[in-house]
Amino acid sequence: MEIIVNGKLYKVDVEKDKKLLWVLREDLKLTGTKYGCGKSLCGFCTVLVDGVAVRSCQITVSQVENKPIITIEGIPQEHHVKKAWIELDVPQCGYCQAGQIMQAVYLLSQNKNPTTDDIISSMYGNLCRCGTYQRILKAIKLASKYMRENNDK
Amino acid sequence: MISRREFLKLSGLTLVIALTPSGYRILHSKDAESFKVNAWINIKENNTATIYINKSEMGQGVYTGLTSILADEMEFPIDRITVKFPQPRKPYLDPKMNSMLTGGSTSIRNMFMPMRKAGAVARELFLEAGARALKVKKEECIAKDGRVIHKPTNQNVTYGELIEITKKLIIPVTVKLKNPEDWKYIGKSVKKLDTEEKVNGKALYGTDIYIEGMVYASVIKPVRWGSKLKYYSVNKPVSTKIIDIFPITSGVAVCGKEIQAVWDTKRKIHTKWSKSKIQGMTHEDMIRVCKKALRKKGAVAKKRGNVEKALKTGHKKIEAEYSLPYLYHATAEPLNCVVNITEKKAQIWIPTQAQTNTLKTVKRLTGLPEENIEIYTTFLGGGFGRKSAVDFVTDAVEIAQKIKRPIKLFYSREDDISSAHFRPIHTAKIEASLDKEGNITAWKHRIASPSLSEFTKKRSYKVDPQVVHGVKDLPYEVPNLLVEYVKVDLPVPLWYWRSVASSHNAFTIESFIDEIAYHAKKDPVEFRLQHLFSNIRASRVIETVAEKANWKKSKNGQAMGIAYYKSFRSHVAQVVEVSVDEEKKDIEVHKVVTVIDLGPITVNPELVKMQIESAVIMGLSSAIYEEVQFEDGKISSTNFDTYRLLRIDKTPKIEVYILNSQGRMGGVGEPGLPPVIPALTNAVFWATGKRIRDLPLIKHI
Repeated sequence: MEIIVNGKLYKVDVEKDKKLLWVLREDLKLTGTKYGCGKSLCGFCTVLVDGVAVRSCQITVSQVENKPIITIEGIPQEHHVKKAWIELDVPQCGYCQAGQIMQAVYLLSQNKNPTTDDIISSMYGNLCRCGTYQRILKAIKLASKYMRENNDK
Repeated sequence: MISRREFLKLSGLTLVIALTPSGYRILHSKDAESFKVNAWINIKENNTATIYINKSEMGQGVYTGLTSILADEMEFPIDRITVKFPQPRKPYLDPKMNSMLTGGSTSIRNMFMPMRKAGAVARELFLEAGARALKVKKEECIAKDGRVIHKPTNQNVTYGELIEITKKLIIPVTVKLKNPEDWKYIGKSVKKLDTEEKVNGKALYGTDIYIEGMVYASVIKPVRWGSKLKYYSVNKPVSTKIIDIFPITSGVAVCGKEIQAVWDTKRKIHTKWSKSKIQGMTHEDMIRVCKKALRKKGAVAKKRGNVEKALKTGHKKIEAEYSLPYLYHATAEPLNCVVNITEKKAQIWIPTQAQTNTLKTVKRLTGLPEENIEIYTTFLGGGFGRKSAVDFVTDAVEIAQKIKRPIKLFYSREDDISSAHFRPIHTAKIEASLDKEGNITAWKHRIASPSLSEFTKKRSYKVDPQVVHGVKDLPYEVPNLLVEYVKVDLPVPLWYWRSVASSHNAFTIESFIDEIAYHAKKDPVEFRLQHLFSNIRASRVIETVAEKANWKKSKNGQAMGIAYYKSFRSHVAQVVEVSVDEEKKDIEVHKVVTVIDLGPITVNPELVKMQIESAVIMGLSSAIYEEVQFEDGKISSTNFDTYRLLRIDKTPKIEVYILNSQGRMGGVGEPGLPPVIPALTNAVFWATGKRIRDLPLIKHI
């Protein structure tokens, strides 16, 4: 099977129903995407498929064949979201943060200037046991500001 | 390296260090390109350094905190430092614990001086070498940003360029520690050194380790704790990805080529276990068992004056019972480790808080000598105490020995919960009497709970010292005090959960003092201060938080609650502001204001704030939602749907204020958690008139 991850084509020898999360981690060794619950309850494994945030623990590799997949490793450090995250030193243990960032990237791709309520409803599915929520909120607002200032994507 | 028995004499800020011969040997290491100044610092010719820190990074920021302490004394730019975790051997053991262990909010407190000394020795050494290289007097040189500068001429040389000369020098016998006013990193909000790699998905956790030939494993734990495996059978066919299924000490192990196949196969294995005494029980039944034990007289933990007499003769008597559930740590990263055992050697890559105990466990199970065992510490995706246990190390080593291949033990979320090691269930009955002026004359506090120490220390106590901690030394000044402990026998494994017994005892003490204030018709802030009159630090955090939060009990349906608790040598007072929608059974936490007095030095103010923010969220989460559920004695919380955590929608505005005071340094990671729980339930009381004495409160609104 062939999948396109972060702009790169990979051939993977796996069964069709293997979940994308485990293909990324076990086969491609792209370990930035994390396992947390296996049931779409925590959001740690969030990636973008066709530009849409999905939980990679729920989607099989055959469902994403020929669709562009972006993981945390595929978001450049200069991206407004990562810049804001670094500026505010958001991560603590850091384990959930790839999922948080991917969800935030998706939110801002849909809504350049989200309100607090917009942010909460988009980020609700992403748990953080260290409780970095206050900084996540601030970082998304900061990223949104950077985006608007630069008037780009 | 400097020995622990080094001769130390602190006079002012001059530190005298007499060196052991071993220090001299390390100095003359043979590495050509790099130079090991001491065990903690390795410097390269290109003027970059590797430093070793003996504490695990689990989100609390020690990676940055300890590094900035050392870099400051060393006069070395922090952005030219790489941080590594050493092997758990001397001299890397925490000198106060004689172990490589991260816990008890002690990392900065215990390692502050050792890190400063290590850095100062390096600085002095390079100063001496620099003066020789520049052929000038050492007194005319300063060390700054990894360079030695000759002040009169401004000639300078980097530490890296001085390696060759430095190798010929003897480590200075006396080093002067920097004056606090010259600190460059200590006391400043240095940015976290691990943020970038975490933001880029490059930080390596235990789950991210892959080694050649590795297979995956997980374990079926007892359906009910307190029972033993009788037999198991496998419903065939199983996936072709499965390699082996076999019993180990803690349950049944499953090994396979893909982790999902391992987890799925566990469901196809039928296990039969011996009877457990908790068969048939729910969480409520276990609370009932504890409450029944509360009727008994307990072992005396503390006795002052004559409580019984004072209770009888008091003007007014108040009593209440409280209960708290088992709690799950819910670290983001489930338990895992990678183990590779050969005939002569064992290696383990592990997100652990307890490297020394991991080493001892591997040694015990393999019989290998310590020097043939390597423990590689990864980043921890959360710890909160859970990763200081070594139950999962035992599982992993047993499996690797049996299957004779490298393995990655990887618990699914369900496995992680079923491995228990919870915060104990807890009940308490408190009675107090008041005199006519509204002063507390007696406080009788009885706790009935399973014994945490029995599980953590593997021995039994009449009075569990960890359980009564904080009650025995009740901060409120009462003439008659009696603290009793009744041990309850329940087989569910217990472990340290962020702040240990403080999350129980802050809730019961600080709820009860609020109840007494209500009965005495006194303001909760005033009433606390009245009974803390000789405790300056406690009074100051309470007064400050009241001022910062604009303290008043209630205004238009919104209400404030206050609580104070001292733990890990830090004093914390918190005010929580809530409103409660009783029809919708919903609670809104608007704001939490925290004041912490952490002693004389704040190493990194922003990191302290982050830790308080974290503790506030975890405390609120536990108070509002968290409870391990049991059905028929089985743990019926299985994932985040049945073990609910606080999410972003319930995040309040969090304000943090830091106070300093004389005395010893206090901890930071844990002390922000305990008081937020009663501050919340006290606020709920002032908002609704409803007194929450049983947690989580979601069950009672």
